Amino acid sequence: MTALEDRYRRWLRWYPAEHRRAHEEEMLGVLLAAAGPDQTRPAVRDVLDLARGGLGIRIRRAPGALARGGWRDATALLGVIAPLLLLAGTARYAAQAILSLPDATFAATHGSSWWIMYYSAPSHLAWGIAAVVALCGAPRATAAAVLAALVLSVAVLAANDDYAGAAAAAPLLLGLITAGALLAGPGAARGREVLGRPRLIGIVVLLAVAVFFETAMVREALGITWGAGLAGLAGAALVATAWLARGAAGRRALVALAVPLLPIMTVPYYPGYVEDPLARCLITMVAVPAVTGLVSLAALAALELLVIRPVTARRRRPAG
Amino acid sequence: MQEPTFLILTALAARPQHGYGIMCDAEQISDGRVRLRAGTLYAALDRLQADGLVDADREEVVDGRLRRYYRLTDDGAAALATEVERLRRRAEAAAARLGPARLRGAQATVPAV
Repeated sequence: MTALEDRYRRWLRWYPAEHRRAHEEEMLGVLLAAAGPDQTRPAVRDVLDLARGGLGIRIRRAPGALARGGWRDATALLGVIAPLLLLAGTARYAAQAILSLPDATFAATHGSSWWIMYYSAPSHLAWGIAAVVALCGAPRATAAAVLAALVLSVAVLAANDDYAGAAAAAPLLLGLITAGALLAGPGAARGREVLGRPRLIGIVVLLAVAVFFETAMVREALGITWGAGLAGLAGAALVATAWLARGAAGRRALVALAVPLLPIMTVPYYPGYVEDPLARCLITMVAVPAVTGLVSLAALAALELLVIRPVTARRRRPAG
Repeated sequence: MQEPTFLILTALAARPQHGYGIMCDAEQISDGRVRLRAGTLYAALDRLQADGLVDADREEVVDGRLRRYYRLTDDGAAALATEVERLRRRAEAAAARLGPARLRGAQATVPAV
């Protein structure tokens, strides 16, 4: 093998493995035939052209490759975990609402409006219903319920000029992930199968623990400090992450879940310094999820290329 | 239709050819103006095969190297014929608007093929 051939072969790694298997030798022949007699290095323009061609083929084949790869199972997992997270959000609101009922009743008898005190109850209820429909495994009904909850949430947020930081965007994004996963993936039954009963029960328990620590009034009643509550929450999140990260499908699902969940953890503030309500809405609903979404996608690409593919390839190819 | 696609389909219109053959032929058809590089050529062949316009014909080994020949499918020939008709109508429209005198003037400045 000449040095030029070796170098061209290295640049052909831009192409998907499937394409390389079918065309690598043929393309090398063409590249070498087109090369000058004394050429020892690939021309820059040829290298750029190979990169462009390889990436073009990868992008064109991406949907099929994703469907064949671990993404099917990752989508199945998301169809179970995303609605569980949605349900946890509703449970947290319900716990807080019920515990604050005595105070609210007192305030209501002194002229406060029930509507103002519980204005986000309808949207939380709608997300809870969408989550239950999703957990029953009905994709189209889920999509309809998610759409209804989405419209209701945006209307409630806009009517109250409430953009409570990234937390407001989380149910919307989780709802979209839930509907998308159930419509495009193999369904919730496969998700439960991939997850396995022990891990499913474990995650439900961890979510219950997280809701418990996240509910301010529960913490106050039990004398748990905010810091200790946060530590409990982080512990539950860590254990759930470690469980999911054990399989390739779980790792992919985790990165997708980072889009709605990462903003809550990294952007816990409310952009009150922005005066324009529309700009405030766009920051929480669009800009922050978009930025964390892009970061998550970059992490996903790195995970796929640097960890999952090499590990699976090594397992497929026996040593020696 | 993009120019590389048009040149590849034209190169395959008369007979099946291998990758390097298509490359040289495309250069000749375009009067040396377009030199398809391997990346562009194989990306286009991948797309054309997926669209059913081009298909693999046969393989041979020359000097220890694999050569795969590609041929135009019936759909590919139909797509090329449609494009030829479209280009012909455009060229005729342009020629008619230029008029014979100005058209001859342009021909005098362009070297003959």
